[in-house]
Amino acid sequence: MNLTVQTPDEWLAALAKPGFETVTQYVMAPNDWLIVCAGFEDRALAVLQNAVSLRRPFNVLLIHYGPHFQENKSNIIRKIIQDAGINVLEVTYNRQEPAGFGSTMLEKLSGCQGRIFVDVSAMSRLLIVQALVALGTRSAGFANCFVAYAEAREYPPSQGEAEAELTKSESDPCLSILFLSSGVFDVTVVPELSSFAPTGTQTRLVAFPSLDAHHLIAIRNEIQPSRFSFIEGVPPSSQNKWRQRVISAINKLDKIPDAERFQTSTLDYRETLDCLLTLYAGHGERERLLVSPTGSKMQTVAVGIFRALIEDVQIVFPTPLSYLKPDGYTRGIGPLHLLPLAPLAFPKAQC
Amino acid sequence: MRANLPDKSFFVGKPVPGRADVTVIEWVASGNDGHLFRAHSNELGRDVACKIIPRNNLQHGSDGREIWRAEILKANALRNPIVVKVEHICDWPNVPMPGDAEKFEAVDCIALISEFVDGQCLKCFAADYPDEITVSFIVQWLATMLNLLFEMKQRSVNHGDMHAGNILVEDQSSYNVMGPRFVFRVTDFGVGDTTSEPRFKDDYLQLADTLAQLLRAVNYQACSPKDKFVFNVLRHHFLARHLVETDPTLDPLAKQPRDLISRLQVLDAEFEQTAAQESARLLTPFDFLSCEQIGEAAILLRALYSDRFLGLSEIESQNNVVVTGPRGCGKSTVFRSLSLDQKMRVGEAVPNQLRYLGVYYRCDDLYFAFPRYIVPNRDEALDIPIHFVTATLLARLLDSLEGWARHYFADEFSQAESKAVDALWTVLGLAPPRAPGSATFKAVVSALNKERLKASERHRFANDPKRSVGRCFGPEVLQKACGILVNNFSFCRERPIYFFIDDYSSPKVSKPLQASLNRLLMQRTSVCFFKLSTESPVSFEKHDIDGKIYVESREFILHNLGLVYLHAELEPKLTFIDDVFRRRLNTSATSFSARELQDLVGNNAKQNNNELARGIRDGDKPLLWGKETLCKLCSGDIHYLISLVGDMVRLSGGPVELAKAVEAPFKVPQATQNRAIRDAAGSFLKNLRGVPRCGIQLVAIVEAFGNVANSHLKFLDSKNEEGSPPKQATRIEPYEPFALSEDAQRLYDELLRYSVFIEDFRGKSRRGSVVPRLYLRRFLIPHFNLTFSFRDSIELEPVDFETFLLAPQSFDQKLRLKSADDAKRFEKQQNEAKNQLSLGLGGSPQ
Repeated sequence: MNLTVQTPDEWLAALAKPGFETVTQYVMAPNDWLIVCAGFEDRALAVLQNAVSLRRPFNVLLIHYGPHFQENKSNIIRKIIQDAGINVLEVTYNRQEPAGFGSTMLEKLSGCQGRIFVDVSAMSRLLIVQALVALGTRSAGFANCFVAYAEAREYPPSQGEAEAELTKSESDPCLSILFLSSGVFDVTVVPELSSFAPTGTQTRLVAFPSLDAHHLIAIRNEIQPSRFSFIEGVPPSSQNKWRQRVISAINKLDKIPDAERFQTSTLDYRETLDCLLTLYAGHGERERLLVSPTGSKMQTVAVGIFRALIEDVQIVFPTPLSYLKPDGYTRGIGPLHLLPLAPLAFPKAQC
Repeated sequence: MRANLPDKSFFVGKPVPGRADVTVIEWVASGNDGHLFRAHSNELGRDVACKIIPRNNLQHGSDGREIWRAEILKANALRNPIVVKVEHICDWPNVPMPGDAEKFEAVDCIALISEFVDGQCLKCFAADYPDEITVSFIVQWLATMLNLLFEMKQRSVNHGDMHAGNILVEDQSSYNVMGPRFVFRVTDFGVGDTTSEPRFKDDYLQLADTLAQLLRAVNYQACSPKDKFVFNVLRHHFLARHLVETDPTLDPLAKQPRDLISRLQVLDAEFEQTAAQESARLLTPFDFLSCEQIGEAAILLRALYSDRFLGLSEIESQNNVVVTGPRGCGKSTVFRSLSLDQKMRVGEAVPNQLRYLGVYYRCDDLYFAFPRYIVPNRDEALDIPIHFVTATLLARLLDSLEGWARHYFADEFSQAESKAVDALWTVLGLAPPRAPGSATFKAVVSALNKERLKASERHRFANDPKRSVGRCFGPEVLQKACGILVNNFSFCRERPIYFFIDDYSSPKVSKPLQASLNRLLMQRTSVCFFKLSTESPVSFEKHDIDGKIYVESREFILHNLGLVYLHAELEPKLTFIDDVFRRRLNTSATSFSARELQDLVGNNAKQNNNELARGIRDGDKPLLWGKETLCKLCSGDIHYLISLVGDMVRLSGGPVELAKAVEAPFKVPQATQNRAIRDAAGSFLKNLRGVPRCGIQLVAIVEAFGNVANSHLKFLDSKNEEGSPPKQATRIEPYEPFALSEDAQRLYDELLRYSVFIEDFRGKSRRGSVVPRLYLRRFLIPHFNLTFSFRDSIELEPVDFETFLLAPQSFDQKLRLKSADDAKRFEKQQNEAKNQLSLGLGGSPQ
């Protein structure tokens, strides 16, 4: 007699989640597909370059961004693919009209007989969530799916630059600090990441504060949430620990009353996933959770996995209006990683 | 384990030994211990059930006693109508067993004749109708089972095999038009499998097992908060403790059916209570600046809600009302406070004090379901939003109404519920669930919540011709449903239904979505009224998708709280603001040495705008302090005042430091008040800069206005005033009605949306035209070093107005005065333009 009744979040919370493996070589097979985004960061090329170096055939779904930035690496990626003689499909992701892209992506991958590798290194955060939700909610779920990720070597701004801006803003209440992006195009809500369950009147914003403080301002202005939970990123490198303090100061987290604050690794997605599950268990019964995936790429992967299983959570995303220094957003290529998603597929019989 | 079962085909077509009138017609099912057949009794003229069980499968004592027979007869003594009683027990000896034909083997069986139940077992029902397995279905089922267990306990009856295969969902619709169509029945008492493990013979454990199966069938993530709450109570309390615990010292409710039924019956109330007991407390008087932050803490909301709110009577009038006002002006607080749920939670829903039944709905829900809605290509998809909103509002109304009616009109509600629900199913055009409890409000609410999900799903594919949209509720359905409630319940007759729709604002609720929903929300009926709150007059669409224009004062009343506060006399404003602070200071958990606003900031009624202006002209920055100043800073945005006083207290060192100012007439020093007032405007502008798409432009526009107005104060005098005081303009007044370009209009709308300016569209220009006047938000006035005078305007030609919006720097350069000479030139130009007009030369002066 089995008297256990588990909701999907409880199942996921109890699961021993796979960790990210650091890899030196991505080994692809002829039926495999690699999803690559033609972003403007150096690391946009890392996974693809590494995979083609073995000179084995595989397939690429190349995603271009719209509106286009001159610094985007579309042409370089095309050249790599062409030189390697790899089968490629191309599709454009309009950051300002992103609704339904998960379905578009699945249509493109409909013939896939092998594994799917999602390279999130240069992927828009909203697109990471859309892609993982699309894969996680299809009939095959996360079976044969992997996340590939290249860290950057440097993450601007430097501590000195950040501290200087912070000091300036403290003396002038009107000054906005702009490091990476400028302004917010819109707070984007897409139907496929919406929650339709009837909820109470309370909304809780689960946000990942970043150096771009206007992201949080825009969401607070537009959505007007009634409760706040902040998941602050803890960089793996001790040299970058200052970022957590500066981000907190820039976003004035101390002044937001009654906000819950958590700290999770910017690299180990499991900490963020567990944190989200704790938040859902604590507040999901009565509040509508709005998750704004503006943290690190790996924190965003956690959001994607979480949202693939937990449907009564709303994703809201402040789409940046423009990027201040596309060529200086991140610099260089760091270690490469791989995460198998199959163990995270919720067994349908449990539903 | 299936054992000793003869071939079922042997029985079909044979008369039952000992009941010659009964012939076995067809096989229905087989269990572990026997076969079940439909049989027909010629004598009774109806079908009966015939269960055939090998004797070896029945329970016997060690001495060969037929324990099973006593159990069956005991069960027959039960009076609960859900029990399927055995009418006759017959022997059916020597039944051949399947196997080797040459080696004949036979078993002795018994045949149990009982009522034939038209329906499915619960196990099959759950498999065939998974959508019917809702939380309310499970509660109904569990209550029914516990009610049976209550009698069984009294009569020391044990079922011994109470699994989901022995619980039936009977369809009575073929013979019963008065009672419920579907009911639960329980069969097979006392014939439990002898091979079963003892734990399966425990009825409570079996119940727990079935409960677990049913709960697993529920889509938890699609449940409402109340259903999630009940789901978790069923799981964590009933399943984990009450039904499986045997020691009453560990769980007083363990296997106590009466107590467990009582627990089930109060789950709704428990949900409300846990909501009301939310731990939110006002730690300082300046917490909870927005209503949403108060959460479900009903007592706190009541404590902070002031019924001195300006404009309350208009909101409560029997009209469709569109309420607009700056963010933080209290719209949500008022709307929520007037809802039936809130009144129930704070004990203010006594019928003789209740003039209407209020339902609160916040449009966040719409925003997430229909983000960036545009009108679909297909006509049949037009009503999807109405379907969604009707389902949502009606579900909320029924839920609130049931809670209230069960409290104050329990008998009438119980008597009339099923009739009203029958009518509701008809109006909704929905098939009632094929399950017990279908004639209840809860069943309708469950169905409506599913309709919400369907509408959302349909919307995603609204333009896909391959997908069927299905039938949608039209604009008339909600009104008809309200009519049914009025007709069936006397307590609804004297009380119209008010739907308080909060934050019905574009762009969140897009204009096309509003145009679609206005067909519902702008209806004029006698049974229900709609109160819409919207951020600004431009965030509300005044027509519908059929092209019908909704005219203010005819279809709805527009109640602009920003204007109400701007034009109100000081006294009522002060009364309200004093009341707000009094409530907060007295409710706060932190010991505060002040009990009134003036204890904190003092009175400063004697401030004279002309004197202040002269001071500014001389290079001063006026010292702003006192509660009258706070009142003048308010454009209705009361949350800003609360936050501002909070800042003043913080800057003064907090309540401990303030308590030391025993001798002072008020606690916060004037200079500290002044600093907080000026800083707050800076913070507002910083946040405004973060507004998506156009924040930077909005800040540039308002700064241009502020700079120009400040320069006019410095270098121009007010006309037709004794003493020629400085010109004190805090508003823009176009000379003529204007038509803006698309880009300029977008910025104009955003300025109003964020209440950077407050529009009074009934203004009259100096040239006699009806034009909108734009008042600078009051708390920005100190930032630009202006005064609170309402006397003067910055008057603009339409072309300058366009420039003001699209090129604020040019506007600033053109109209900002830098010296007295500049001012003279400016006045000369103004006079020439005026003369040209009076001579009839026309044209706009450049």
